[in-house]
Amino acid sequence: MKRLWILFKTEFNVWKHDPITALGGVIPCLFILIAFALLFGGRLSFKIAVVNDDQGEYGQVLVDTFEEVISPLDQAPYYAVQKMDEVQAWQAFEEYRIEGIWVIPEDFSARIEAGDQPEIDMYFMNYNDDRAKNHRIYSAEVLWQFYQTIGQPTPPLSRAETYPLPEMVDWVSIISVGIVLLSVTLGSIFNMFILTYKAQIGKVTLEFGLSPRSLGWVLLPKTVLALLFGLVTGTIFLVIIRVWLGFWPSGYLWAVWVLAGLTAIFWTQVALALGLVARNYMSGAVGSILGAMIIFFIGGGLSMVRANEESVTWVAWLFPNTYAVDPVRDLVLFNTWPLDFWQVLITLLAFASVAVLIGSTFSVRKLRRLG
Amino acid sequence: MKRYLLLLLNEFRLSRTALIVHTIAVLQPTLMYVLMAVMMVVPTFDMRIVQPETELENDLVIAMEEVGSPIGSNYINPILTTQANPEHKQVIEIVHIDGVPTALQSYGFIDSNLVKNLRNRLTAALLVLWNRELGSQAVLVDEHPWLPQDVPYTVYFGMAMIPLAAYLAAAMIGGYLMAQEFEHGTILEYRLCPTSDSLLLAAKITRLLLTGLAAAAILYITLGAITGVWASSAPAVFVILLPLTLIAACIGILAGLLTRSSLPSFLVGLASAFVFWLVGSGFGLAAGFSPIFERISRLIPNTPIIEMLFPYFYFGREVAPNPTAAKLQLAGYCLVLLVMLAIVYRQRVTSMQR
Repeated sequence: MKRLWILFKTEFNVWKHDPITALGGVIPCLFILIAFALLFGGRLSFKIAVVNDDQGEYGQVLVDTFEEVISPLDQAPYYAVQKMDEVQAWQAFEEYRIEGIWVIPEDFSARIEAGDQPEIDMYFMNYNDDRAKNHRIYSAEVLWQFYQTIGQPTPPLSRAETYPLPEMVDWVSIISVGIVLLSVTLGSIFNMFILTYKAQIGKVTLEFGLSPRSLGWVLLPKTVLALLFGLVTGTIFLVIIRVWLGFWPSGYLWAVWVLAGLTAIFWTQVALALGLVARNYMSGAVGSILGAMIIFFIGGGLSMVRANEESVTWVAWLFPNTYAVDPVRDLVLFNTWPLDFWQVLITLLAFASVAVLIGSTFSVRKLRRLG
Repeated sequence: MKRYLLLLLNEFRLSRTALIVHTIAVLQPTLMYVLMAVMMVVPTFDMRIVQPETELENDLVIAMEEVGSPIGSNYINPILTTQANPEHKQVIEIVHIDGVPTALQSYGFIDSNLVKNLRNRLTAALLVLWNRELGSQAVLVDEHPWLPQDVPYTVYFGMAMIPLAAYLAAAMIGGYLMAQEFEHGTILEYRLCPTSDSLLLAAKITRLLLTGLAAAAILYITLGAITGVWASSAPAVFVILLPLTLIAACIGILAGLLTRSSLPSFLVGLASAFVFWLVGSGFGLAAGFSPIFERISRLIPNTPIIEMLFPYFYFGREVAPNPTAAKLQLAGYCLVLLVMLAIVYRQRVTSMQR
């Protein structure tokens, strides 16, 4: 135990010479969070123009309806009607400064009153099918409200919905928890890297290779220290989220640490093994960091895995982050105990155990052979 | 010229010292694109609905199947279930609230974006039923899309990743190799070298430009192979990418010169590449997001680059609000960074400890 403590302190002293690596798990993640907050955190209403040629009153009622139909995404109307004349509107649409134009013909009201198939023309952007889809289904929301406002007969089926919380969790918050896990992952990788890199450039690896004792004594403090730093960076990121978005796991913090910690152990071993395969720790670190970034994007970083399980690629299931991210969201965002906590815990334990077994066996062999 | 070519050749030979870093930096965006293309947002959503028992409930299921694009895919794939439990997503059940037949959609622990998508789809299906009942009283929406077909999101996503590929390779490799010169002590050779700074830097930058464009070419070919969409002029795509790749090369080398350590310079390359990609229209054209986002996005070099690439992938349609200003902006960035690079190189290499 004393030997372990001495090695642990030595590793810590090594780290103290390059403390900037502690930021490796925070800085890129903070930039990514800011980028996503800018992207999806602002008002996302579609900017459109309305050309209202209607001679009656219903055209204006329709225009007023745009402001009344509110999206749950950002609590703002789906459409933001821009004030511009017809010429400006067409020019803006052609140059993609607005998303679309609704043209209400002059006989719109007359046809509504006569029940003679009123029509409107919807010009809209479809450079990607997701935006085209939004135009089509947003228009349904507008018409639904319009029918109610003008007093059409009631629909054959009304609509209602229930949400399990008093307030809806927004998309940026979902992404932010994905980034917390990325932060723990990157924090561990960076620090594992710097500890092994220092050993390499200090030529201590030769002494390791010649050591008569088990190299587990060398690898254990590195792994523990890298894990702790990963958890510290992740916790710093959680505090950032608390201040910025208002979410905090409260009494579940320990459970977040357990799930994130097991995920981090997996990645420390990946960083260690890749560094040794490449015989160049930097290459290993670059590979594992970019690998972790890819896993963030494909393994539920941007949306909930459970709700989109069918579209998660099989590659993502080979990494623990994909399993851990939704239970961590339950704990941080919904402050609820994940129903699949124990199942996920066992899965993550399996990932961590296999990673430690393969990673340490491989690293010990490499160190013994290469010195 | 001969000296320049020899220096350029030497720069390429240096890649042997960091083969894995080169491989990763060049291939990572393509790998990410291939993996993300599989799970990319698709318009068709599975929506669970409790097994219909009445004619009205059956009509709703049929209406759900009708919601979609006339020139693209359907938006709802109804999944019949016996459980009225939303589980991790949602479920629709027909209930009577105050005697009114109602489609009640219950959500699990999901976010507002998913709620929006599910709510809109249900409304669209219910509107089909309502319109049917209204008959000639229903308002007909005559659709006029901007392009003749709804283009899959994977096309835009891939096109917007091409600048990321060029940037990441140039910035990361530039920073890493420059920092290595300090770490390995080979910077002394540059300090003692009788060749001018500009020639040395020109060779370094040219090599990074070619590497960045090679990374972009790999992604471009992958995008074409996956989606079947090719730019109307491939050479134009690579000409457009040149200023961004130059900017990336300058930022990378600057990071290496300023930090003199491979890890922080790698961090600078990585963070700037991903932030520029995300904020620089990586997920959609800047004009389609909030005004604040658009203003910030226009400061990022990726945005004008993507707007210039756009017509080559989208039937010649222009989206750049001011092409001349965008070109001047990119030229300004390149010029400022080249001047900065020359100054920092002189300070860190030529003037120091000669």
